[in-house]
This record gives sequence, structure tokens and C-alpha cells, in this order.
Amino acid sequence: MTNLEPRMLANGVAWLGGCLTANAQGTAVHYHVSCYLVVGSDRTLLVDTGDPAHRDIVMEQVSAVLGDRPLDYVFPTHPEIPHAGNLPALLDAYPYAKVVGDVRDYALHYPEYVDRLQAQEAGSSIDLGDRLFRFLPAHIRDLENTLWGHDSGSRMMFVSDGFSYIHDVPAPDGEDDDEPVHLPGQCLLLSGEMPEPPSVDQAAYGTGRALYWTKFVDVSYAFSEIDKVLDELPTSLIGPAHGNVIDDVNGMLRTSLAAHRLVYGSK
Amino acid sequence: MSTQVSEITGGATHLGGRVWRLGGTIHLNDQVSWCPEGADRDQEVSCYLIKGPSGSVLVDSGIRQHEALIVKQLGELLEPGEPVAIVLTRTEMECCLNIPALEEKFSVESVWYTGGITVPRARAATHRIQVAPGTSQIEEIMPGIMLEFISPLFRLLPTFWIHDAQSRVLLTSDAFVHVHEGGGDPVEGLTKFKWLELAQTADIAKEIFDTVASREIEAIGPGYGAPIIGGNNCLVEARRLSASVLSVGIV
Repeated sequence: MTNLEPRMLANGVAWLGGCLTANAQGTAVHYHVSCYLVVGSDRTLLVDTGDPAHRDIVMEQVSAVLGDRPLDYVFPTHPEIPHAGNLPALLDAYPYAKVVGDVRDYALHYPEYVDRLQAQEAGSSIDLGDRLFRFLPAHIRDLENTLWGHDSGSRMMFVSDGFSYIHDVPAPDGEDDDEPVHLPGQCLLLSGEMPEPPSVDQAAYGTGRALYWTKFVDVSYAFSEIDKVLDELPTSLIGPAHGNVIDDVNGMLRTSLAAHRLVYGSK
Repeated sequence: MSTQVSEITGGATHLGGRVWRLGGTIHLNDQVSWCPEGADRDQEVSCYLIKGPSGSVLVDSGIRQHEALIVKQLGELLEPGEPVAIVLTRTEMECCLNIPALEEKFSVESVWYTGGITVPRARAATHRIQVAPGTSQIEEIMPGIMLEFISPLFRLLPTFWIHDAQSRVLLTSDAFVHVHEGGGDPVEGLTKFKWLELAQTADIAKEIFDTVASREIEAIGPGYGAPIIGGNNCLVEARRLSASVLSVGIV
């Protein structure tokens, strides 16, 4: 774990969570398991819960950002451990918080919280006061019950498993890892603050492993849909769960699409 | 369709050889992500215990909604203090969320898994197994329990199918999930795999059938849906699933 302090990214959005460490040929490398706290004038919303390995850190970070305010909504982008595994701790700590998003399956996983599930569909939104949080289709995903999000106040899009990339490091020694990795010290950097922008090969590394199906599918259609969303919703930042926050949106779109094409062509 | 459906009771059911089915049923409706469109019925959700001479292997840990039931079923099958290893077919929530509760009640020594970042567990040692899609690898998980870890092409997340050759049982995680008491169209088991509709699926379809046909399989135990009992029925369902995967893909 490295990044203990939240980074305030833009108007009312904090980058939380942490990194898990792997070993790459004798060098420690990290991979992000991030979550994002959106603080509106009236309501607050947490995108993803972080990994249970970071439970105490996430709880402290959320509390530090919120101060005396409550957490009103938790939006796990999909029901996987790194995205929803801290739901019990969050719901216990914030007894009025609702779980929002595509909430199918959560009653199977967390039956004790079934009365706190509030379904949202792609296209719906929640008014946080001075900003609107929109739920979007997840155009790049693994589980079908995945949603992305967009916060109008910060002009930030939250893309879950989409747009992950490695940065300048080899694969962890002996492991065909499926998460994007980076070097210590780079945990809280924006993509534009990294020593070099992510290359196509680096983006392809994470894509090919974390999103196996993209080896079989030409995802150009998905990027057309993403382009339409970006045309409708001004976006300055993209927040993946497993990668540094992206501040060069157009550049990363081109890199990510090229990476997907590389992965598709390599099967 | 002649495929048999195993009886579901409050206790574990014998699947074949040394393999037992644990778990219960859920109501399969539009609140379940893998629900076929329009379905509204009960469905088995399962994990499986492979009993060995000096310890047992639990393949997946069941859904949390069934936590108490699975603890009860395991308590009836395990000797006091019997070592248990848990093998995860996937690191998805329906496979691993009961691990902490099982650690509290039983002697869980290790957790074996592929892919994913972390699995929830308190004390058990973790072993990550890497098997390239389309290949398999044999591991001795407990003394006397040699299991084949098959990495199928037909998958969403990193996935194992677990083959216990001694019992002639194949545990298929989120595949072969379509069978139920009223029948079962294999296409209904593809709800989770919408990406197939955008892919060339001939190789994937062929591998599904070949995996079953090239081994002596007498029972298939899916993570959800009814187990398939009988060698001929397993072949029939493998052929049907393979054909369905081929039919939904692009040419």
C-alpha cells in the first residue's frame, strides 16, 4: 500500500483506494485498486468501494474527505471484489447510505443489505446538488451488470475496468498478471504527469489480460459509442479502477483503441 | 430432453464418486445477472466437495445467501479437524465470499485460484495457478486428490473447470448452467457471455465438446443450474452447448 492520502482531483472529486504490490524481476511494482468520492453540495457518492485489502485505508480516506457529512450513495460499478468488496464496511459505517447502480446479484452476495439497494439504469442520474451524477453504459466491461458513471461537476468519467494500462515496467516475475502495473512513486500521478504517456503496447498489456474476450472481438464499435458519450458529456478526466487517472482524454482514447486492435489481432 | 436432474434437498447430494454437491436454490429472475430473458423459476447454485483419504477439497464456496446452509452441509460431511483446501473456479463473488465464514468453522488450509487481485480470506495460504486458456494442468491439492485444472476458451473472467478423473466428474463453473427440471436450452446459459455474439466462436465451440468427449465424464457439476448425471447425458449436453456457442457467433 502506498497512497494513503486522498488526492483531490477536481472540483469535489477525491481519488481514493490504494495499490497492491507485486514483484517484477526483483522490482516492486504496483497496481491500482481505486475508488472515487464525489462530494456534491447536497449529497455524496462513492464510485467503487476499493479492495478489502485496503478496507481500513478506504474507510479513513472517506471519513477524511467527508468530515462530518454522511456518505449518501455507494456505486459499485460491478459486483467483483475490488469494486464492491468493501460494501459491508461502508454500509455499516454509513447506515443511511444506499447502494446504487445495476444492483442485480447483490441480494445473493449481501442479503443483509437487500433493503438498501436502489437500482439505477444506464441513462438515469442522481442529483447531488450542484452536480449531476449520470449512470452510463459500460462499453468496455467484463461482467454484464457493469455501469460507468459521469460527474458533471468535475467533468469526470468513471470507467471501472476500462482504460487500464501499465507503465514502463515488465510483468511481475513468473506471473501472467491481469492487472496494469506501475512503479512506486507513480501511484497518484495523472497520466500526463507520468514520465512518458502510456504507449499502445502498455495499454495492450493490461487489456489483453484483464479483458480476455477482447482477443476475440473487434471493439471499434464500442469506441464509437464512447465518442458519442464524450460529445454529449464534456469530460476532462477519466478515472479507471485499475490505472492512473487520465487527463489526456483524446490521446488515451486513441491509445486504448489501438491497444484493443493490437490485442484483437494477436489471438 | 432426457437429462436427469438431481434431487435438491437441504442436505448435500452425491454427484458421483467422491464428489458431493453443496448449496441450495435461488429464485432466478431479472434480479440475477445471468438470468435468461423472461425466466422466473428456482435454480440450483452449487459448490462441490471432493472427499479425500486425509482431507477434502471444496470447489468454490457457494453464495453468501447460502452461507449457513453450506456450513451445515460441510459439517455433516467433514470429520472434526479434517483439513480442507478451497479451489476457486473464478474469483467472482458467488465463488469466494463464504471463505471467511468457512475458515471460522473448519480447518481451511489453503485457497487455490487464478486471476483476480485478491480473495477474501483470513489465514489460509493462497496459491495462484496460471494455466493458459485452451490448456490444462494437474495439481495434487490434497494427499490423494489429484485434480486437473482446465482453462477453457469459453469464459469471461479467468476460469477453471475442475476435473476429478477418479470420480469421472467435471465441475464447470459458469458453463453448462442451462439444465433445469423443465428442460434447458443451452442458449439460456450464454446470458453472461454476450461477447460471443461479436466473436468467431468455432474454436471455442469445438473445445467445449472436445473437453468432455476426450475424458471419461460421468457427471457435470456447474456452479449454477442442475448437475448433469450420466456419461451419455454429459456428451449430449456438451454437444448442445457447443452447437449453441457456434450458432450465436459471427461467421
